[in-house]
Amino acid sequence: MLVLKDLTKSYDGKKKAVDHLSLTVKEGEIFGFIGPNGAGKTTTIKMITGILTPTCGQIKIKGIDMAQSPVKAKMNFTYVPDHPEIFSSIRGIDYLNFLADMYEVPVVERRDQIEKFTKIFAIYEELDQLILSYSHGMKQKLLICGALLPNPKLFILDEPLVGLDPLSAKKLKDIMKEHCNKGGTVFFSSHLLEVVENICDRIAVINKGRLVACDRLEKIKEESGHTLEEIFLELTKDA
Amino acid sequence: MRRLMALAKIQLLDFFSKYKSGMGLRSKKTGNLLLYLTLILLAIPFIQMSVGAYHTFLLLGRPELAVTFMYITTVLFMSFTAIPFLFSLFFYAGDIKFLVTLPIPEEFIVFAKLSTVYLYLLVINSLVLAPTMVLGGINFGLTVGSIILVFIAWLLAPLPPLLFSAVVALGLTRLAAKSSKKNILSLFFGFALLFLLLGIQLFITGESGSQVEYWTITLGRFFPPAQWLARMVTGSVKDFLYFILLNFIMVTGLRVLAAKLYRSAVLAFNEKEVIRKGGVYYRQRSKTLQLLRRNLLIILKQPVFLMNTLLSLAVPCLLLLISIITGDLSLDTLVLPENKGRAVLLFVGVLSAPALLANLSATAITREGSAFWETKVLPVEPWDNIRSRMMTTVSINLLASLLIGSFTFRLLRIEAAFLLAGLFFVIMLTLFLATIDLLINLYRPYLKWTNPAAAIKNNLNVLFSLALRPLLAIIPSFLFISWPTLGYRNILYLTGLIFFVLYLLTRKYLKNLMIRKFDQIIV
Repeated sequence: MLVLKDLTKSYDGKKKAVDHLSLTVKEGEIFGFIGPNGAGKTTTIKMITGILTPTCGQIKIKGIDMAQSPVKAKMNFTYVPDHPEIFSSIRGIDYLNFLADMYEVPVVERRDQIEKFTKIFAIYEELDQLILSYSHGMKQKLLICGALLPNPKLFILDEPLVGLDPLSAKKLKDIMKEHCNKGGTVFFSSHLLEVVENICDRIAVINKGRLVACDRLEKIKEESGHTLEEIFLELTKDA
Repeated sequence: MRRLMALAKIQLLDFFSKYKSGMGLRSKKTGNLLLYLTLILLAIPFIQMSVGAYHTFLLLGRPELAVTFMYITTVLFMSFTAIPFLFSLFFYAGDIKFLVTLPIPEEFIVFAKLSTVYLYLLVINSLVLAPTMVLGGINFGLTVGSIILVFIAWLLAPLPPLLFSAVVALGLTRLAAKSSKKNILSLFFGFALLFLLLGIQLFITGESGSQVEYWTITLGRFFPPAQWLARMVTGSVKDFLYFILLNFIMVTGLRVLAAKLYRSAVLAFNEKEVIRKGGVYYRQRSKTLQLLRRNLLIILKQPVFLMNTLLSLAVPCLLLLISIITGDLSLDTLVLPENKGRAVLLFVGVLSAPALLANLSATAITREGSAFWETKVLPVEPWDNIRSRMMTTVSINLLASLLIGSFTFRLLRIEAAFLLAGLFFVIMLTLFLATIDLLINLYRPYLKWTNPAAAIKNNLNVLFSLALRPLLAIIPSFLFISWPTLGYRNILYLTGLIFFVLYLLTRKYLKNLMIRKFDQIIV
């Protein structure tokens, strides 16, 4: 579903924020992307989603090269950023209709999807309000609903649980699992190791822009004989 | 006191650093040079106004009234500038959430923030009032005492309007914050400032000398500080003491009120308001229309952007009206057959004003700020994304041109043939400027602004874009000089055609070479 090959990003031409990162995310799996602060997680996600242009390397989404056919590639994923900074002078429903039009979701389908997800996250009643009156958590929920609305093949989330209350966090985790059970793929970054441990099929650990581990969690644990926290601290001790 | 000074220092450093970063400057030397250049450019018309007012009163034989008149003008000017500035400093600045948690008295926060505004007003004072004060001082004979008094008057003059504005801004926010129209306040004061500036010009040039004198004396009676200041310039120590006493009372008053007003205003402003509009709907629109709508709403829903756009569009209409009212422009003469050319030029000038003054494309990307990532991750062609921004500028400017045109067309009795030529010229000019300005913004995008005013005002792109305008006048002037027999109509068509070719070339460059630049913008 997602293939990163020698992905590199340097902002100043010297220091590499992401250094020859290669990994493959398979269809139908929940893939956790972890690493200490400043490791290059957000930069990697920004390159995958097209916000940043890679210095070199290749990104393929469902076999489509992001550099060659960005629009085709983008039709296959949606993205929830770590900070819900969006144009907020419109109403929640305007935002969702905007996204539905961008992903060409027909009216009947968008109605079902919007009602389903906004009711799950308890923001349906607030859809006719201006986004600027939303709390941080409500904005985050709106972004998640917007990203789920086109039923994306690949669902990319950067620190998705930050700002969510425990109930909404639980609902999101359930949705992520359900999405994968239906054949969708989830790629997300997080600092919450217990969340990663509970829901991920595979994980990748990144440190100083380089991939330091990438496998099934059970396998990594078996090989090292440690908990995820211990493994994480060991792998990133020089961060 | 040390804490207050430290806080004030941080506020001033923050203000100047934001101003420079807002300009999109990189090197320190260029930064300072451009900062001073901007100030000099801004200073010229204000100094001219100040000197002009002094000469008007000198001719009336009452030069002392010039200081009274200019101080009343400056107080209004400063107040209308300070109030929206205070709104932005107190309620839109990101530091408030941090400052309120510090173990410092609330009045310190108010006074530290006022120190930034004071410096800003001191600059206005130096441009609008100081030239009149200096000329007045020279006229009354300079002594060491009067020089000191003029200097103190210069330092003190911004204080009454500053303290008055602080009370008004905090009080109004306290009252208006509960309504959904709190942003309207900024809009109102922006328009008030524009009307004041144009009104003063109208008053000085339009009214007879005796009327100007009468109104200045009457207003001075209602506002004694203006009289005290005028007498200070002539060396009156008694009036200096009155002025000091007034400032002392106002500072004490503000100290008493500051904490209470500030606390209630900040609390009221931060209260979450629930604005419900219409209902939930499910409607399909095309991608192009959605992108255009988004870009239009970014302007229409942000009060600072909206005010800036409306003010830019309103200026030509107001100038035309003022010129007609003051008699600088006589409609009876203009409609005479021998003045047909002049009327056509005036018509085309007014019609072109939105494209020339509202350089919306120069900030089309910048305006999105931290929300710029949104459309980048969507399955939209970068060219469609860029084009929607150009179309936004073209729609707003052409709509304004048509509105202004329908009004001036009748007023100046323009023939249909010239109307068509004028429209062709303006459409081509609008297309070209909307494209070239976007090119400027693509080269210098600035997305990390924290205050919307920084996105569109303290922005070097806007200056670059405006600097381009006078150069365009070379094209019709060259045609007119080279082929004087062509006539206005043909020159308009020919210039329009040249603008169209320039538009096509810029568009091609944008489409073929600038897409990569657009993709590389770092959010």
